[in-house]
Amino acid sequence: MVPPKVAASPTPGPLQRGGRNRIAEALYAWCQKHYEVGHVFGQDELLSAGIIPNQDLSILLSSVTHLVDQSLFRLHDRIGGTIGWELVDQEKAKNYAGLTRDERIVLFIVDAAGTSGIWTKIIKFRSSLHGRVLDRVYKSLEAKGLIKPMKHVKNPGRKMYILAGLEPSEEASGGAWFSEGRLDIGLVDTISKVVEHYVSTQSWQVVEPEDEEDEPPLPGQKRKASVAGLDSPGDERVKAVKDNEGQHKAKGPKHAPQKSYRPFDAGWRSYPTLRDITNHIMKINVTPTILPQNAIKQLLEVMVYDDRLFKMHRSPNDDEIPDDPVSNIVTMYRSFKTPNDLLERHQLEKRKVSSHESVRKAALRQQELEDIGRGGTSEVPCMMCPVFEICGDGGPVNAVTCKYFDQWYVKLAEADKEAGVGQYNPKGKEKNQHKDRQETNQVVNGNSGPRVDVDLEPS
Amino acid sequence: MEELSRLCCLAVEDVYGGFLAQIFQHLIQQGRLSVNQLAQRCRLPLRQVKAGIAALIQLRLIFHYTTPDGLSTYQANVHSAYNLIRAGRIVELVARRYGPAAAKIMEHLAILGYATADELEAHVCEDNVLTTSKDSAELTNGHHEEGVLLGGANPEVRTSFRTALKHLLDDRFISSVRDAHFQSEFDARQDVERHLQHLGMLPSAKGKKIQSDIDHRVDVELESRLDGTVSSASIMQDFEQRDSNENMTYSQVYLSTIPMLCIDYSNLLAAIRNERVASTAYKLFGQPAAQVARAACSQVDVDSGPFKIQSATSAPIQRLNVSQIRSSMAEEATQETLNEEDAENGWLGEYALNGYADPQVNGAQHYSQIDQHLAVLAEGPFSFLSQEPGGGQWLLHRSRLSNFLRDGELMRFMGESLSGPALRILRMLMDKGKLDEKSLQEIGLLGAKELRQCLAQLQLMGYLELQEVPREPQRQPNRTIFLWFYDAERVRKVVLGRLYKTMARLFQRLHLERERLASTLSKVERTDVQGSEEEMLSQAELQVLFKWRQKEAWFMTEINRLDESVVILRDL
Repeated sequence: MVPPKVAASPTPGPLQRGGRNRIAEALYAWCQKHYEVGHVFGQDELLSAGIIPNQDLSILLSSVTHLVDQSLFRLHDRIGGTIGWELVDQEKAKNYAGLTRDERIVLFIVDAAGTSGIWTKIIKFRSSLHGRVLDRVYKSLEAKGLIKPMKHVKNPGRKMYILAGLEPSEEASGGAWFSEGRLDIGLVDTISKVVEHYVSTQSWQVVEPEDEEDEPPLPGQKRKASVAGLDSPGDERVKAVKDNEGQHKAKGPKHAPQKSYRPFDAGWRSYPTLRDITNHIMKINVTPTILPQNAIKQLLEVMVYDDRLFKMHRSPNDDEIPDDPVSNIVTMYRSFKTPNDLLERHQLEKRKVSSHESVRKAALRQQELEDIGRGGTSEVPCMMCPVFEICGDGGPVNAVTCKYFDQWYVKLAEADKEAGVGQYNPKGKEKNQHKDRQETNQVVNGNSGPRVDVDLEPS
Repeated sequence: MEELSRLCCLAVEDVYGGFLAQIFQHLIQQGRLSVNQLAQRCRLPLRQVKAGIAALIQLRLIFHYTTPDGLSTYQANVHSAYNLIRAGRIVELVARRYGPAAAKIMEHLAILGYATADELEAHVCEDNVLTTSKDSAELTNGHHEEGVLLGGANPEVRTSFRTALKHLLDDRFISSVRDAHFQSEFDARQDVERHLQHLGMLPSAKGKKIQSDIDHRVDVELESRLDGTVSSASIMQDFEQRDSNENMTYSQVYLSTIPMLCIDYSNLLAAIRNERVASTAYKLFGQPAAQVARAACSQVDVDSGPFKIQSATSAPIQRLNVSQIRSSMAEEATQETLNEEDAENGWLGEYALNGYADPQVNGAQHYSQIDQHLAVLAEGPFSFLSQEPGGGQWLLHRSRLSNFLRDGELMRFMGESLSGPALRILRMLMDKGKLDEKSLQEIGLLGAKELRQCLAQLQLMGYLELQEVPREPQRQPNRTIFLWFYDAERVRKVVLGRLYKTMARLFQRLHLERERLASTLSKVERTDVQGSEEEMLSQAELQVLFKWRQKEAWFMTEINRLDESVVILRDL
């Protein structure tokens, strides 16, 4: 980078009188005025400022030395064996005032590392100082409030330092989801719940039980929901149109007391995108932590992996930047569960930690049944058996010695009682009533197959 | 495999008793054996073993093969032994679809293993006469048996049998057994090869390209030999011929090649598969979409055969017939309403005819609505559905469908035994391929400790594998990259093994429980007690009996559920 030639000296004349300091100050002022902090000057550049009288090298040398002593300039070796001086901010330079040589070296190294921080081992290597000396230096620098220890996410065991005024970079801190070098699971959980709720309200069409009015689909069921409704006023109109179109259709599957939901018709374009979700999170102000778009994107990926959301693609609108520039598509997110389901789930979680034992038990049982759905292999003791691997004929554990089955019978009998079937009824001839013992309504055929006696007369 | 063979032995024992199970067990554990070897291993007299083998062959539980020089060997037929577990379910399915008469046919066919249509008719009619006479309790013992011997004088039973059989044949619940079905795949293939060579249809030269050509020809021929399709028309024709010509002797019947009928399980598999898809769709999009999904899937049939021969007929993509979806939905709707009205006396013939009469009333939907539902499904996570560009026909990808179900089933299965973010890790690895621990932490927003615990757990269960990639030839651990990966195929095998083992345990336990109640149960099994338990047994015994039946139902429910998983993971 060739600095612009300065034809006439910008500084007025009375430099001569001021002695070294004043020349140096003028030189520094000139540098600050024309260059950014951090620019590295060569000798020619400094001379070209026209501040050094007669281009006298000795004056230049003395003033530069002065500046270096003040830490306003920093010495660098340049390629080709020459020396360069880096312009240092005055504020920064103040930090170096009144430090010992060792301290200065260390602070310089830490400073150079910037926001990524530096490992003590590297400081030791670079400074070639003794470990004890370094310990002392760290202590005094910390006491002076110049550096602070930090943790790197990837190597939490390492002792690292960073300038006191800096925040660790995203790479070192792990991004928005980390606090003090550790993953903030609580934050991730909360935000993912908020996101799921938001996406869910946006990905299901509300069916009013009475008539399919053009009402905005999100009356303040929850605070978040109402805000979400304000989010994109354009959406409501489109939705209303869609509603009218789909009026002849059957009503949604989930009949909640107040509303039910049904999927949008195919080709619906207003499922929330990354941008919508980020805006929503910002708007509802759920956390003081600032969550940038890429952090939300990371979270969304995780939620997709958790099978809570799934992705859909469409071509971008005019004002959107495609997520994937190659194929020019925007990713939208859609939830598996309707807001009602989410609410139910939430209540279930609450009931599970309820103080009443019966409530808790019922909730746990409900959860169990939901998890089973169809194909309830988890109910069989073997599937959860801790010694399944060593279970075998003639082994220490086998079907005969197994003690888990007895517990299983008790559990099943209880479940039957709960479901109101399987009571012994001496008069009723219907012995088959136990067959539909589960809510899953799976009809059991009580018989594995025909029973056949093969005639084998050893005649 | 070991678990499967044990399970098959237990199933055979459960159904057919210890003697046959013992012979079967030796065959399944030791592979191909001749009769003499078998008698030696079983420590049984040769004559008894021969009788056993004959029974097993009749039941299609073993393959037999005779070499050109006259040595006969036997092998266990694992596939059809496993199907014993399913026999009850297919009977149930038929009962639901076609009513009790058809179910009776299936039951008898399951008992017989295979039979000609005539034999089947004789059995069913005999059984009918027996039960009706018992119910009415009018006849004394002597009389009705004569009637049976005269060939089932009851024409009503016969006609209902024939209509039911016709439906079962048309819908492929019953297909025919061919000679090749009694040989193991290897033997059948060798036979075909020898046959073709004999005819001089195979090139004698060798080479990769020629070999594949030979394989293809053998496949085609083998498939034609294993083809179990049998037209209901020809069977019905045979009936009529025989009716008109009563005097035909047995030998005459056997001279003409009469198709041997047997149960075809593919409909059961398809029904389970469709139900799975429908329940997933129901959970997500509700009833109407689920019906459409079920109807759409039912257009894709399953090959239940033990030998999966890649043939040109099963195209990877199936075009869906929307009008067929509509009609099958209408049928379902009518059937449901009818079932509600009188579940007892339902009989298929009427439904099928009436179903088409006014589908609109019965809840069938417009084409455009079906299209809508299909579009909603396809846009959702049901990626096996797609539409031809430009609003053309709907397509269903077979392999994607079975992968969809398989992955869902594996996930469900793994989720049951795992906790925490394990499933997240698995999905991540499925999506991204192989990853090291650092990137797993980063992508999955997971703490190092949690992640490590989870990975260890997953590896222990056999769901994840670890690959080591050394950066240097010295293979030091700290200079090695460790990559985690998920292999669905391996996991499928692991899970299947566990399923088989669990089913085997359930059978064993069921057996054990039965032993414990042996005294009461043997009393119940007495012919004079059967049917009149209420009067003959004491209160306590009735209680025990009830408890036992309940327990048996629990076991069978779970076995059937496990079998459902096996269907999804193995047979699709």
